[in-house]
Amino acid sequence: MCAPRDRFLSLFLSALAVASFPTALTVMPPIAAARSLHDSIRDAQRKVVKIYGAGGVSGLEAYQTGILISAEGHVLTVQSYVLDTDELGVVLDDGRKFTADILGVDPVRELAVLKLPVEDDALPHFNLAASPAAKVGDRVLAVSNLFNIAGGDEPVSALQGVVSAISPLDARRGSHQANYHGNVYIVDAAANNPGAAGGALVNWRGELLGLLGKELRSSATGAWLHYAIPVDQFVASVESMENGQTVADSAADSPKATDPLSLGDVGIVLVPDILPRTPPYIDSVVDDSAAARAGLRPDDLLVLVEGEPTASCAAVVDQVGRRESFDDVRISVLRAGQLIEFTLNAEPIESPDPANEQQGPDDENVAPDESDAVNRDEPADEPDAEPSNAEDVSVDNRDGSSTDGNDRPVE
Amino acid sequence: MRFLLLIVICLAPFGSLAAAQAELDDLEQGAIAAAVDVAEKSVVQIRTIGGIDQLEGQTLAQGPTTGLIISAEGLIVSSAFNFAQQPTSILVRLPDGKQRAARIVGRDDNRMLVLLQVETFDELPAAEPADLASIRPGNWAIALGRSFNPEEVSVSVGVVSALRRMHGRAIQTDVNVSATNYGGPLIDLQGRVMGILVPMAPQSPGAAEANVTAGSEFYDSGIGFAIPLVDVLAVVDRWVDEQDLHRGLLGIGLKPGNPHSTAPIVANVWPRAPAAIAGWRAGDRIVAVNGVEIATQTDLRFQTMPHYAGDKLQVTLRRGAGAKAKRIETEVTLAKELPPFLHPFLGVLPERPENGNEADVSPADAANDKPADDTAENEVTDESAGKQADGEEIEGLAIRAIWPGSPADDAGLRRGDRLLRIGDKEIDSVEQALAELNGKSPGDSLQLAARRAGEELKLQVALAELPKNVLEAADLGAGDDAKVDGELGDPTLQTLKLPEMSQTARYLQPPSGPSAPGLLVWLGEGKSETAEAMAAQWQRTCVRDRLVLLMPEPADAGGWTNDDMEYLARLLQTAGSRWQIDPRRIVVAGQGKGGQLAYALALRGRKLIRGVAAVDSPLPRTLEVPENNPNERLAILAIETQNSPLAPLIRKDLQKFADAGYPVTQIVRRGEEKGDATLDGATRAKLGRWIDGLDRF
Repeated sequence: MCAPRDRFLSLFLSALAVASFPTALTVMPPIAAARSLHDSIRDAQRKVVKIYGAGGVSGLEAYQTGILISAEGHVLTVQSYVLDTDELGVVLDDGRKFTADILGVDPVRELAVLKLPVEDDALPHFNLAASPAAKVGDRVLAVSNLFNIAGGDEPVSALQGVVSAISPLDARRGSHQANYHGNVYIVDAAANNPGAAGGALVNWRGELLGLLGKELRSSATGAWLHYAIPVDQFVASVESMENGQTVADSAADSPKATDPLSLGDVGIVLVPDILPRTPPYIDSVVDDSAAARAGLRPDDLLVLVEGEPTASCAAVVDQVGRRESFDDVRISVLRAGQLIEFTLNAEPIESPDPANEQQGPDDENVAPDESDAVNRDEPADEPDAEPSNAEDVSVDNRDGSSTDGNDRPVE
Repeated sequence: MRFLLLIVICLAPFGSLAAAQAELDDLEQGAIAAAVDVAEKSVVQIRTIGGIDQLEGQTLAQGPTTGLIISAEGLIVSSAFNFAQQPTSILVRLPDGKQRAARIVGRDDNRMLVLLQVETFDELPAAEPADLASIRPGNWAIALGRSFNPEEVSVSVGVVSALRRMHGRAIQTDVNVSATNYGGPLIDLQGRVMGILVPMAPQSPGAAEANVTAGSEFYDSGIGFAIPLVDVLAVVDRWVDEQDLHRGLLGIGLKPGNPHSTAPIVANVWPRAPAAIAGWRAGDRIVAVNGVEIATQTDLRFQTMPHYAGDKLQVTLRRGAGAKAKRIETEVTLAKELPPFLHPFLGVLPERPENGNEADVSPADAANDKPADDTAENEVTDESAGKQADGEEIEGLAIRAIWPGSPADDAGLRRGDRLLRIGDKEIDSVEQALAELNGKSPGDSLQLAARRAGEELKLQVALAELPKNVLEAADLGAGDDAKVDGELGDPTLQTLKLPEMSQTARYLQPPSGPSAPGLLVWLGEGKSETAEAMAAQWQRTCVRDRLVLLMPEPADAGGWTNDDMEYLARLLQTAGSRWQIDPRRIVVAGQGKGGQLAYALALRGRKLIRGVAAVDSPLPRTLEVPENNPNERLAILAIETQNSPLAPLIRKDLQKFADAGYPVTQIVRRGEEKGDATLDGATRAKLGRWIDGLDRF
């Protein structure tokens, strides 16, 4: 805590600092629109704070970064072990130090809003409501106290780069999947190093684009990611945190169906899923099923479901499960080096018109024979293998859905 | 407030400067976006299905990767890194959103690329290459990938850092290069493709195995590499024809020295390799390649590394020194791999090195020692004893025995002769003889000079291959079993412990003698009662063939594990100096799992270990047979129990070693001695003689 006299002194000093920085003055109308990179960096640095809290042992840094989001001293930062202390120190760009209170947290995005006990209400801050969006290739600055390079009234560090990609966050920390799966700005600067989390990603005009996240590795490549969560992904959440609310976990981001379709419904049995990446080959096709009618065959490799690549058995099950049981499902298979697309109709309609978008080259002639052959063999050899289960499931579904009034031919 | 006013006035000119700078920033930003727009249509997303999860302990990327369309007919080039898992199926998503099946046309293990073909009837938008002359350090460089988002390329912006990196094969850039854009293009500000992004390990000329993941640990570090697209387009027709492009090898070793300042002088020429076929010889200095002057080893690499196997190089050599030096023009065709090295064989078993001073066998000392020789196998014939006595024969290398049916035998060399010269090289140590012979191949003919009873003989021989059989006792000179019996008694087992190691080893030492002993490390089950039994059984062989029998025990009573490898390596070092072991007779052996460990140890410790004897042990599945090396001769002895179910496997492994040029020997033993942990007497004696003959040449 600063004693009043100290604060007066530091106020005086900061006033001096501002005075000696001409660009902060608003007396240059002709060039206000075109500020230099230098101005943008300096402007952003003033709105970024250093946060000191718990940690400091076994590779856990006791510091991170935050951004001022109101003139009254609201600070947005990441939720982390650093905040697990009663003496959470926040140091402003001008060197003033406060002990902050936590107003609210968002466990999904792993964000927290702090409040500084400031008496003046003219702190430089980012205006979340007026933040622009960035495009891939836009030049950006990552402004944070990474590695705790800056202390006291030293300005925090600025790194330059471009927005490399805008992509859903598919990342993990150790073996734990990150909670947030929404879009992030991937940047090509080494932005997310220890202490950087909670820092600002700004454009070359100094306008806030996003908040730098914690250190995470990409699930796909294992490489460390450099990223920021875009402002529009957290602006609503911040509002409720400012009101002292802890945001409930509402991350229902995966479009799960209410009555999900299963592979059994369409009559596909995949090979046993024994490896993390078992290639999704079709083991057998259930007789008279949608798959059999469409002309799918054993040994087809099921590579796309609804246009989404499915590189493993698990991915196929997941993608199919996103369709409702009454939906058609569009799948593509690799057969002898050819990519062939089929549309499977989950309902066993005994329609005389088989032209439900079949695209296989020679389905009419070959498919029925083959699926017959499969059916003769499979249940006999493996009485409790999947085919019979699959039948059960589809029967259940028929029973279940007939209650909601759809007319469908039973038996 | 006068102070403030002053500042405002001062700043007016800066203001307009700032405005100009901001305008420039916007222009640059626009130019980058425009370049991305031009190039992005040729960048595809690749998905692979199936394949392995790990390569050499490294978990392989599973996400989508990037490729670049280089022909309208559907040729796509990508980084070999993206296919390290050897996928069973490949899907390519074209920029218009269509998915297409793709197949691998071929790989390029010199530039770490893969060529794919997608099935397409449409004309695809091929990338436009940037002219090499237009690429200069400091130019803008933009890396594109399509792993994050199929709809939109990822972008990283930086500069060209350097040209002609990796011995002339790659452009270096400071943009972020990682698995997110390996296989994608590095483009210039016009949207033309300068190169294809790949991981590459900096400066590793000696690396025999090209690992497609090497260099990936430098991702996003400010050091990235791209293979120039013009270089790829220059070979693409050939790539399609030949399917795989390989690094080209000359088959020479260079005289050691700082590669940036040492002239490339040939130290040795691999037999039957391209350089040998072109007539290169040790001592030749490489002066020019394809008309380009060569001053250093690095210069040479810059001229050879960019080439592929099958390429022809015009190489100028300088042979000889001073006034006799002449320039020789040669044409050499680079090879994909070197033929396996086959050890040439003369048929000579040299005298065993003297005790305590194994490296430098001074013939004079050896002669003085002879009369005092009391070991059975070193029995001295009358003829040689006479020669020793006159004390004049101090040059050359003493011959202990002649291999029956060998070139030396055919040419008439005899036990007791002294080998003076091979070709025109004076010989007075085994090392010199091997160095001379290792430059030759079986079938080569050469002249020998030897001395017998004061007379010099000149002999012509045609070299053979190292024999597979074990010498009979009679060939080594009649063994004096009575003498051996006299040395036998209760075997004294002693214990050896290394500092800071929990394992112990028991050993049996032969009585002190004139010649350096060999070392037989037996990797058994590690039970002490077995060690006692072993000692009793092996005593005769150890005395007769002068062997230290060393029986280490694993740290874990359950048996040998990989953790014991470090201990065994240290134990071998210690044993070597402790007993002044003859460096040509260090053998590791074992039965079953112990034999497999012996293989693992021997293939890792080839600088030290000269033989491996495995009883009923196939090669561990994790081990590959490495390339044979003339300077690290490793003999393989497989002992197989008759009717063993493992026999077919063991014979297949042995064939692999033989194909790679290793000297292999096989002993089939009868399996009647069930329950006995070690070998029968006859097999033990044969193993002993095999070790005794390891320094044959």
